[in-house]
Amino acid sequence: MSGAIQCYDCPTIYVGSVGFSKDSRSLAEKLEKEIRSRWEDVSIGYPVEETKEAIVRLFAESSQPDWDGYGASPVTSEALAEALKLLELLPRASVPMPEVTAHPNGEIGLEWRTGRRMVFIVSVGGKQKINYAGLFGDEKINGSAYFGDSLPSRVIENLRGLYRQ
Amino acid sequence: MDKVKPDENLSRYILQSNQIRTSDKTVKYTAFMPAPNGKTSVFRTAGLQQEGIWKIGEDVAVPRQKKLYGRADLTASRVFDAGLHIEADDVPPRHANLTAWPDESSKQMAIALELTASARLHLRN
Repeated sequence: MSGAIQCYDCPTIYVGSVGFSKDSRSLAEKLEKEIRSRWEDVSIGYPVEETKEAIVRLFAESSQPDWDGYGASPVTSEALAEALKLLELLPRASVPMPEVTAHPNGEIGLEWRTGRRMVFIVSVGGKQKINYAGLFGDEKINGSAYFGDSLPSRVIENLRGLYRQ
Repeated sequence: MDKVKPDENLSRYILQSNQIRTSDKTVKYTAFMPAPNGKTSVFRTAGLQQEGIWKIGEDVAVPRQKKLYGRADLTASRVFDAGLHIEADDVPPRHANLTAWPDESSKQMAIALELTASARLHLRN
C-alpha cells in the first residue's frame, strides 16, 4: 500500500542577502541542505519509530479477548494499521509523539498531555473514523470525523491548540 | 442495597500496565473507559485501611490470572458530576458499577478524561 503523506510543518527556508556570485549561491545551497538534513533528524527520527514500536507492543498485549481482565474486546489488526497511519500523518515538527493505550472496545488511543487538565486524545478502530476528546482547562470537547487519507482539520487544530498554550 | 454517597471513595483496580503513565505516575483515561457491557467495575473502599483496599484488588486480579499494577481512587461526587450513575451490587462485597455511559466513543472518552483528572493513582509495590 502506498500513498501521499501530508506535510503540515515542512520548513520554508529563506536565505536572505545572498549575492549573485557562484560562491554565494553554492553557500546558500549547502546551508539549505544542512538545515533540511537537521530538520529531518529532529522531526522524522527516532521518536516516531519508538512510538510505532510501542503501538505494535500494545497490539501484542491487547489482541486477545479480555486482555484487561474486565471483558475487553481485542484490538484488531485494522485498528493497528490505522493507528500507524495516523502517526505518519501527524504534523511532527509542532506536535510531539503521543502516548499510546488500548480501549476496552478494541480501539487504539493516542494521548497528548501538557498538564492534568490539558489533554487531547484520539482513537481509531480500523473503521475510517477518528474519535477525539479534549480537556483544555475547564473547556471540554469531543467529536468524531471521517479518517481517510488525511488527518481531519479538527484534530490538527486541537493538537496545535494544546501546544500553543 | 444502600445508595452510594457523594463523599465515598471508589477504587478502580488496574490490571494492565499500559493504563499507567510511568513518566509522572498518573493513570491514563482508558482505565475508566467502560467494558463492552457498558459498565466500569469499581469498589467502594471507604473506611478501609490500605491493607484491606489492596486485599480486594488481589481478589480481583488473582482469579483473572492478572497482575495488580495499582488502583485509581476518586470520590463518588466526581462520577455523579460527570453524569454517570453508580450501581452498587455488592457482588462481590463492596462492588459497584459506573453506568449510564453514553453510546458514542468520543463522549465516553470525554467523561473518562474528566474522571482521570480527579483520580489519584496508587501503585502496587
